[in-house]
Amino acid sequence: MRQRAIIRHGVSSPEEMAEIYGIPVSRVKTLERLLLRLDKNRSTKTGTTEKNMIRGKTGKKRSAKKIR
Amino acid sequence: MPRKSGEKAVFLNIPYDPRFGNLCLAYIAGLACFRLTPRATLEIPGGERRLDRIIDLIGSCQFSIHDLSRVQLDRIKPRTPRFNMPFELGLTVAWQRLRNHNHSWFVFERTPFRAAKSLSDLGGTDIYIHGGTAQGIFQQLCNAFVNEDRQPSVEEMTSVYLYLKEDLRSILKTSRATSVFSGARAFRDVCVIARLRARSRVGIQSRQL
Repeated sequence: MRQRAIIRHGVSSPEEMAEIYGIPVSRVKTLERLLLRLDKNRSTKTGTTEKNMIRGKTGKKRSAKKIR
Repeated sequence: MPRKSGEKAVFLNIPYDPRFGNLCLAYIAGLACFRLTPRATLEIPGGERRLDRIIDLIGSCQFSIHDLSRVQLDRIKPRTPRFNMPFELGLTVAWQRLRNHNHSWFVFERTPFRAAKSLSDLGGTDIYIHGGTAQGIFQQLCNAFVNEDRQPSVEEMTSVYLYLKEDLRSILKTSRATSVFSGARAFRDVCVIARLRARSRVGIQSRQL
């Protein structure tokens, strides 16, 4: 729980991010939406799971039938 | 220049070369995990003289990274070495010595002993050898920023880098850019996305694996 609290403390809001990078808040929100869309596409279209992505394995797994 | 107080910026003195693209992404991903803001001369709008912009940018950053791995002869005749990176390193050293003693600069190289041979004035300076790989850059970033509060693992940085690499085309598409070096907006978009990704990845990955 303590670790979780520390992580939450480190989270920057879109306003803070905009301030850091000197860009409009709307741009940060657009990029956040883009990120969400990319994650959604990744999990549904490519079949890449979160765990595999971290391990550097991307792309859909070949089915046993195809391998044969 | 980061506007938020307490936010630390890093001046990235790297070659703007498509072949250096992946290593540039590695720097951006690694620095995002340290909660540091990468800055490069390409993101400052024109108008002023380029040299003035570089000096202003160095002055606004607390750290600077100078990658000398591509100081080599180019292919276009007359073949000349790239002097920009060593020149900007010289500017930074002068800035740190004469104006801002708190500025820390780090020299990164691909090959061991090459910098000592080509730039012997750097004798006694620690050169961070990354071997031309993203993993090498992450390891050396950990060594360079060992005094920072946030200490991400190489795995966390690798995770952010892989996401960034896979999503790069979609990120650049929003600004019709072809590479991270295409301009200010492309570079900044990639930096923001890296930071957003690091925000969700650093510190929690160890629990998931």
